[in-house]
Amino acid sequence: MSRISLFRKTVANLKNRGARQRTSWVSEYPLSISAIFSRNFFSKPLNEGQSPSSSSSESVKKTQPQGTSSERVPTWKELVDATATTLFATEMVRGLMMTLQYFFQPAVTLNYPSEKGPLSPRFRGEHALRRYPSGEERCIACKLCEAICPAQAITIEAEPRPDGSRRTTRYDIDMTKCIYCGMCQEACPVDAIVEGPNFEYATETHEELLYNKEKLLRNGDRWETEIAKNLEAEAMYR
Amino acid sequence: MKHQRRRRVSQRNRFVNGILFSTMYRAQDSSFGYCLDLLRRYDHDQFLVNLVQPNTHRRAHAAIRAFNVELTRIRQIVTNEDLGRLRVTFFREALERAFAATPDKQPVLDLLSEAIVQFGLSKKWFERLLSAREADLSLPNFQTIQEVEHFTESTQSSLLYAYLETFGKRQLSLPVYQAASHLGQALGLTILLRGTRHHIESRLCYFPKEWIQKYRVDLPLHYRGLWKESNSIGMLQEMSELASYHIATARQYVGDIPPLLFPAFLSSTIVDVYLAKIRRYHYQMLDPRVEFAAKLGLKLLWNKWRRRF
Repeated sequence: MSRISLFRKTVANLKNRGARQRTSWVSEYPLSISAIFSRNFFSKPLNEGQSPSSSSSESVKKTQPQGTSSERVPTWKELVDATATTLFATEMVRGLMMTLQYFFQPAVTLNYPSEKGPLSPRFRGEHALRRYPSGEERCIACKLCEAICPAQAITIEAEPRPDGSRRTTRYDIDMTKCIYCGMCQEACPVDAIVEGPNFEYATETHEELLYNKEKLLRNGDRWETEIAKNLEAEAMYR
Repeated sequence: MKHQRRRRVSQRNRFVNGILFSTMYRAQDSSFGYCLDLLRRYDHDQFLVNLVQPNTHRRAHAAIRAFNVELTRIRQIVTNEDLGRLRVTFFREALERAFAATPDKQPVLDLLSEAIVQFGLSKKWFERLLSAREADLSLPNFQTIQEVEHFTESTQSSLLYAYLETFGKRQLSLPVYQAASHLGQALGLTILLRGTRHHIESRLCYFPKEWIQKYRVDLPLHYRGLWKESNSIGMLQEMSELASYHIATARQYVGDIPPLLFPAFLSSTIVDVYLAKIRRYHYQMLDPRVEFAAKLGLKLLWNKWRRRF
C-alpha cells in the first residue's frame, strides 16, 4: 500500500514538476514554439544572464517581465532528464498495460501449419481428378483440357476399356509448366479435372512435380469434400 | 415366360429376346441417384416434381431434367463464352452417342441414353434446348417479349415435349402440344422472374428492351435492386401477368389432354405457388421469402391426388 502511494506520489511529483517547468518557461518566453526550437538549442543552457549572442535573444530579454526574472530556469540537462523521466516512466507502465490487455484477448495470428487462413472457393491450387460417388473416375478422355491448356502442360492418352467405356491410360500434368489459369477446369464437361484448394505441395525435386494419373486421382480422393463444397453453386434461374 | 423374365432381369436387358430388345440400353443404377442428387441441389422444384411422377417415368424425368441442369450450369462455371461453347459442343456430340445407345460414361448422359432408347424420344427437342442454351451463353439481349417467350419455349417447353413423349407418341395431339407450350412458357417466365435478384448480381437483364423503354426503367437502379425507384415494378408485374395468362391458356386445353399424360403437367403447381408468392410480397424480389416455397411439395402431392393441373 505504502509502495503504491509512494509510486503515485512520485508520478504526481514528476508530472507536476514537468507541468510547472513547462508553464514557467513558456510564460517567461512568449515566443512561438518553433522560434524556441530554431535557436541554437543544445549548446547552451537556458539560463537567464547568458550573454546575448543574437538579436533574437535580445528581443526576448526586452519582452521578459520583471517579476519572473528571479525564478530559476532549468538547464537543458535538467529539462531533458525531467521530461524523459516523466514520459518514459508512464510510457513503460502504459506499454505493459497494453501488453497485459492483449495477453487476455484472443490471438489474431494463426498458428500456421496447424491453422490455415481462409481461401476463396474459386482458389486455383493443386490439380485433382475427381470420382463419382460410385467410385468410378469421372474423366472420359474427351481431351478438351489438353486442347485448351495454354501452357500445354497436360498430356492424355486414352483407349477403350473392355466394357466399352473410353478412359485415359495416361493423364500427366507438368506442374512446372502449369500457369494455374483454371481453363482445364472450365473446359471439363464432366467436372473431372479441378484445381483444388491445396497450395502446400512444394517438393525437393523437379520430377516430383510431374504428376501422373495416380497422383491426381489420389489428390481427388483426398480433397473431394472441399472440392465438392467449392463447386457448389446456387440454383439455376434461367 | 417366367423363366424368360428372370433371365431378362439377371442380364440387365442388354441383348435379351433377340431383336426386340437388341437396342435396349440399361443405365447403371448409380446414375439415377446421381441425377436425383443433381436435381436436388440445383433444381429443387423439378426434384419435387420428379417425386410425384409415376415410378415408370421417374428415371426418364430425372434424366431429361438433369441434362437441362448440366447445360444451364455451364453459364455459371465458365468465365469465357468460347469455353462455354466448347462444353455445349461436347454435349451436342455426346447426345449423338446417347441416341446411338453408346453414351459416354457420365451418369446424366447414361440415364438419358436409357430414356431415349427406351421411349424412343425425338432428337429435335434436345437440339432445340442445346441451341437455346448456347445462345444464352452471351449476354441476354431480347428486343421484344416474343423473343423472351421463344427462349422460354425453347428451354422449358422443349423439356416438357421430350418428357411427354415418354408416355407414348400416340397420346400426343395438337392440344397437348399447345398446353405444353403454354405451360413451358409460364414456367420459364416464372423462373426468369424469380431469378431477377440473381440476374442483377451479375448485371443481367432478361427483360426485353421494349419493356425497358415502355416503363422508362432506370437500369443502373434496377441492377441495385431498387425496384420502385427504377420503375421496374410495372415490368415485373407485367411479366407475372403474362405468366398467369400462359398458365390460364394451358388450362383451357385440360379437356383434350388424355388422363395418362396428366403427371407431366404437374409443373403448373410451381408457377402457381411462386407467382402467388411474388404477388404477396408486392414484387419485392430481393425478399428472401419470395424464393422459398416450403409448401410446394405438399401442394404437388395434393394436386396429384386430386388429379388437377
